Amino acid sequence: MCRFIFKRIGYALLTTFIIITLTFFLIHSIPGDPISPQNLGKYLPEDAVKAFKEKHGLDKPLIVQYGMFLKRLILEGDFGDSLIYIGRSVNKTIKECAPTSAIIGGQAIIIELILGLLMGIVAGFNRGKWIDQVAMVVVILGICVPSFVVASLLQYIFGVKFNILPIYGWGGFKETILPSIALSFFGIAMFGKYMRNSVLSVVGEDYILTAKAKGVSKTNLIIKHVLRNAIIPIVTLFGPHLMFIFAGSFVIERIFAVPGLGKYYVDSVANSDYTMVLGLTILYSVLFIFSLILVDILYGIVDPRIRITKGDR
Amino acid sequence: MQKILEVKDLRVSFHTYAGECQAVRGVSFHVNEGETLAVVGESGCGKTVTSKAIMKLLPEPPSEIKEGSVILFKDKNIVNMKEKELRLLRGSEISMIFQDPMTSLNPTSKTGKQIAEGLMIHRGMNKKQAFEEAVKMLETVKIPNARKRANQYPHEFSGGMRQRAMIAIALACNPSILIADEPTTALDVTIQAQIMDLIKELQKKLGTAVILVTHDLGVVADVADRIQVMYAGKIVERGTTDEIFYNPKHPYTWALLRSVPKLSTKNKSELYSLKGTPPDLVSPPVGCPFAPRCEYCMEICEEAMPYATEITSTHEVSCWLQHPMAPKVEVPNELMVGGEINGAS
Amino acid sequence: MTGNINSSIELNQEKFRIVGCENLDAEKINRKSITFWQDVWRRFKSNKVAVGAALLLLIITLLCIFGPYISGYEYEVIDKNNRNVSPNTTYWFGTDDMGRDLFSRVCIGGRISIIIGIVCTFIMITIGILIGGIAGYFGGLIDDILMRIIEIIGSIPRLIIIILIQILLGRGIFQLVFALTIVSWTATARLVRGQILQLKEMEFILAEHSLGASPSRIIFKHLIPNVLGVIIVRMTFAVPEFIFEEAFLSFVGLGIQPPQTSWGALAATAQGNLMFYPYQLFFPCLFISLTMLSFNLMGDGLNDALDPKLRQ
Repeated sequence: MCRFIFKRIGYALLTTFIIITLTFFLIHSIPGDPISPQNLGKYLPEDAVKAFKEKHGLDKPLIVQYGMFLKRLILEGDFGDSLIYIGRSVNKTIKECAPTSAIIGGQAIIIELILGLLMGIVAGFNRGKWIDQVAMVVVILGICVPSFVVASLLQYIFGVKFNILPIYGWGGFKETILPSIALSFFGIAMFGKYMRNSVLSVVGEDYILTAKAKGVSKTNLIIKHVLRNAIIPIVTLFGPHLMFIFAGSFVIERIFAVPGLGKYYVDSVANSDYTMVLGLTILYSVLFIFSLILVDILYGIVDPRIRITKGDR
Repeated sequence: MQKILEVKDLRVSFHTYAGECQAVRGVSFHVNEGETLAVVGESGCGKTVTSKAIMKLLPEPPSEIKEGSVILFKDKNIVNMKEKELRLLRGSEISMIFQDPMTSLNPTSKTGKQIAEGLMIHRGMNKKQAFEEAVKMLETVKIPNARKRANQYPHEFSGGMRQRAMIAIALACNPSILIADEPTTALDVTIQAQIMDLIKELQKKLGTAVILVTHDLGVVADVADRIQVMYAGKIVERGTTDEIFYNPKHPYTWALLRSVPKLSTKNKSELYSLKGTPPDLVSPPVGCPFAPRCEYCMEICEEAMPYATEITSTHEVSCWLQHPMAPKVEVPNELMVGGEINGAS
Repeated sequence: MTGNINSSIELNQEKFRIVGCENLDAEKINRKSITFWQDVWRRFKSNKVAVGAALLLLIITLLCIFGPYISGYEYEVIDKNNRNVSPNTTYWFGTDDMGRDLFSRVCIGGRISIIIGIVCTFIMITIGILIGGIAGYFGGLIDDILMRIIEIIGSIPRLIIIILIQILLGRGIFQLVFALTIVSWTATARLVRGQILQLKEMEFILAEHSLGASPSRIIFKHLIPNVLGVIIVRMTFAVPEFIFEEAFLSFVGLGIQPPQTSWGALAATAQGNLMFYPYQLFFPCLFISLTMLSFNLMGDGLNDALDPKLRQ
């Protein structure tokens, strides 16, 4: 198992390096940086442009810039400065905005897990009954209605119609409610759907019959035998799902005007703030890659069959 | 001998899209203390449904145990039992071994724990006591390194060992009846004999009654005390093992016996195989269900169900050939080997 | 064993003549033989939800094609006198803040959304089948290399690649299609590879090999028809995914750029006016959701119809 994890981490580091390199060269090969005459440059005197370029090392050959970037990133963990907002470093942005995004994302994941898994379990055990049918409608809606539609709907109902919750901005817990719910909508449906299927397939397994034949009580049967096994395939969904949370945050933070990383990321792309895009891209990728490893480790803990087989590979 | 289980007019149906499938249609039998009763028949004849119905393990819906069915265990009707009473019964009084040992053990629970679970429920043992007892059980079913094995997961076991572990789970609480549903079908031939021997040995040691469900007459020959042959949800013939092997009366029993390969076959002719498939039990035939596949089919067979004819006090057969008006039919030649009907083993 | 003799049946010697089972055709196959695809079609037809979804999809598509001609308004014509008009008999879906007819805009936007969904799906499926097929059929080193590439692409958040490509190539419909397809073929390739690996192990392929069939015969006669079902299902689920992603990107301003429009772009513009003119947001959102819904329901129906295990 240990060897397997080390191998995965090795792969992850390699992938991260490839992503950093690719992103760096991609972004720097874009014709026209923000300071070029087509963009901001036309408002600035030539000296200022030159000074700016020197300060950011933009006048040096690309490969040197790459070396400088890597050195700063690895030695100091420094992503560099924003090109647009003078005096604002990428690190500072991350430090300020990441917690905001993490709160909303974290709350959304908690809601998803509680509601989604609960819905899947209840639906799975009551297959074909009305509660199952209601759950299936929720699942279909959650998968088919885009998050921005859900967000707008929530804003309209709670903000415009009833005016009970703030629909813009950031501050206390109240402001996090609607964004978290909007962000979790898809996840509830997805976890619900897969948990239901998983429960259904486990209930049909022979070992459930064995447990019943042993005289296991219903509660124990559900918790120890059904859910313990049904949760295994759900764990693998976590990794890819984090991507949906990231992507969802791009839209949700924009709609609810939440000053999070997602909003910053979209804004920097729109404003061609390349160092910011570069830094945040790397951050997102690393988070994603390592969350995949975490899921693998978790999977090994949940499923005893994996502990041996995967290590051999 | 004391009757320990008595089944009277058991009828089980499954509600499917195609209609009501009558899987078991009025089956009555009993099991004596400590004996081995074999239930034989091809797949879909209702033998597994019967055995699961005894423990009320059939999911309802789609299945339904029909009104009037009686399963008497120690003077109590299992059919009417509440879930709570059933739990006390399952695993402690009646337990079951299933066909496929690869899928009937919980993959996420240690084997020892799975054996201990029943002990904790029915014997009120604590975790430690139950685990110690589980190790003993693994030793009883002849698994080497029992203590180490008890701490392993089922996927670390081979097929034969898993079935041994299943037997350990089933026998942990020393039940009075063990239902073994095709316990050797999914195993290698060499392992099959070992598992059957183990069941036989433990049965003798513990005095458990065994209901052995199988499609293979060869397996039951030296294990069973009595055999009942099922076809299309009904019992067509029953008798002691000797009666079934040496004096079979039903054409279906003949067909089953003829399809058992044997070394002593003199003429190296092809092994007999029964043509056709059992009838659709959504709309069961009015007459004898075996009639369409029976070499000795008569007009009456298609029109009315044959009734049970008693040959001896233990031997009963449901076939129109036993009617006084029926022509005399000889037992097929292949069953007569060296002047004697194909013997056990 | 309680066979009661029906008293209406008269027992006589006649009835006890052995007829035997020789002329009784016990193994007769009663079912009329129909091909796999006929069976799929029959089962799909009997699934009311799926057929309803397909019909709804047809209506939406027809509306997107012919809608602008029925309404009589050009989608980009600005009418300063009729800004933010609520839905009425002249402007069925109302007008936007520049006085443009929303019905026409929703139809035109729908064209873009649906075209992107379909075009991306076809490109994705083609690349996926090709690469998955090569990896699965040839195996060995080629398979290893291709799978590593797929793994690396799979470990980068998909949306980030799309955004990076758009930064590099600029924003526009072609760049968008390119970006969407470049990240999405990996799942299909994996699927096709898995199917082919599984089929290669099957006995009937081995039988074909031993009979001396050429690789092209095996590919066209066996592999493709067997993989086709899975691919069709994958396609019906891919279209709504692309529509969703396009809407998503356009919504955050990184997809379709004005003057072109799509459902996502329409929703993005309307989002700002939510407080005062919620209908502007309602219609594009309704269409996105309905389209996604019908594709998904139709996909579920096809999935059930194509599953050979469910064949009865």
